[in-house]
Amino acid sequence: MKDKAWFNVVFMLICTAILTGILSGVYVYSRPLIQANTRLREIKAQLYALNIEVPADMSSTELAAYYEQIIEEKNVNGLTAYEYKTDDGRTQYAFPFEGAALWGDISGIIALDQDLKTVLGLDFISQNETPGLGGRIEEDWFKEQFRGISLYEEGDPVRYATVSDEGQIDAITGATSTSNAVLGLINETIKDIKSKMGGGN
Amino acid sequence: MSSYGEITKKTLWTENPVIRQILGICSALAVTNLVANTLVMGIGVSLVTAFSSLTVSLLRNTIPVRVRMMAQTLIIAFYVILVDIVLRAFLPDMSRALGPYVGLIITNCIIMGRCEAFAQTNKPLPSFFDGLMSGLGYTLVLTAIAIVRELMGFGTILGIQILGDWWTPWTIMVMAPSAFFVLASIIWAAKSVALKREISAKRTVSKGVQVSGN
Repeated sequence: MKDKAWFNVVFMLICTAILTGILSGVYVYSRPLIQANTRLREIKAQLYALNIEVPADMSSTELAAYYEQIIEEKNVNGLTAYEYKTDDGRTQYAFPFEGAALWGDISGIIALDQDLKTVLGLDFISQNETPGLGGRIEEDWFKEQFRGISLYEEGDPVRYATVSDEGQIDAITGATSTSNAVLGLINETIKDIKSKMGGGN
Repeated sequence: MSSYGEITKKTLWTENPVIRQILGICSALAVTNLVANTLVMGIGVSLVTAFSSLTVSLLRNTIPVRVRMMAQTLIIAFYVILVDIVLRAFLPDMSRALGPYVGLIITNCIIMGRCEAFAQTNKPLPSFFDGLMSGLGYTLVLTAIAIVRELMGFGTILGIQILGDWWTPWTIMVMAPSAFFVLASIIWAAKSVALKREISAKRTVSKGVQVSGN
């Protein structure tokens, strides 16, 4: 029986059915956990970008509840914006962005102040850049550079410091392609935000 | 068939998957610029190899010979996806750090190599052990490469600053090509040692023959 062609086919079908069945089971079981992790990551990215201090000993559920209290999700002209009102009455916004970098898609959050002229902060949610090179966009020194920078009115809102250009931030040495892709993505996002939010404000 | 001691010796040294069989080179280039990533990758590969070998060995009399490689690939893919799901659910930070590399465990030739070369003809427990130790042999070599690369590329080991400000990091050590140089040097050193041992072993044997001849 074992050398018959039909047995091979049936054997593979049964094997595939059993193994994928087990995987589906495990996936269904762990999906709530994975979704909670993804959600938590998004929340943390938004709070980081908006520069909101969170007590380090806060549990994930407390954090989620706290987040629901202070952040409001809005849709402005097809643009998702997370709104945060500061204690002194200013409205600040966090916007999700997504796009292609050097090796794969990057997604993250950029937060702008009420007048859309100042960046409050930036955080990345997912990226697939070279670890140790382009992957360093996730390091604090790179992200912290964006805190409080004023956007240029003319041309690209954010620029790297070069010999000929004053710029606001430094690129990553040895990771030119990733640096440029990330900056391009950020500038595109900011221009898009300005064109959609600008009129309404 | 093979004793556990023999398996250990073979997988870690005389038939080490990376330095003697030249397998798993793709990931040896990709993940070795940080020691932490290398260790997690090593654990992942070891576990997948061990459990794939165990499963293949358990089914070795059931799997039809003609489709055995298809079945092995299926089993390996099953464990790789399992590792990915577990990492995403319970170790999200590690999952983020490793990104696409977890999925790439499946392309590691060591896993299928051990299934074909060992698990197919051996009992489950020795197969499991063989897979685990092969993964360990792989991890040891990759960690050695990673230590050199992280130290020279960042001046750190496991993120802890080792070299002072006087050290200028070598960007080449962070990029994949440097793994070629480091890996080649390690293979060179290991082969030289192995060759010397072989020669001295032969000498002892030939001396022994002379003695018994007298």
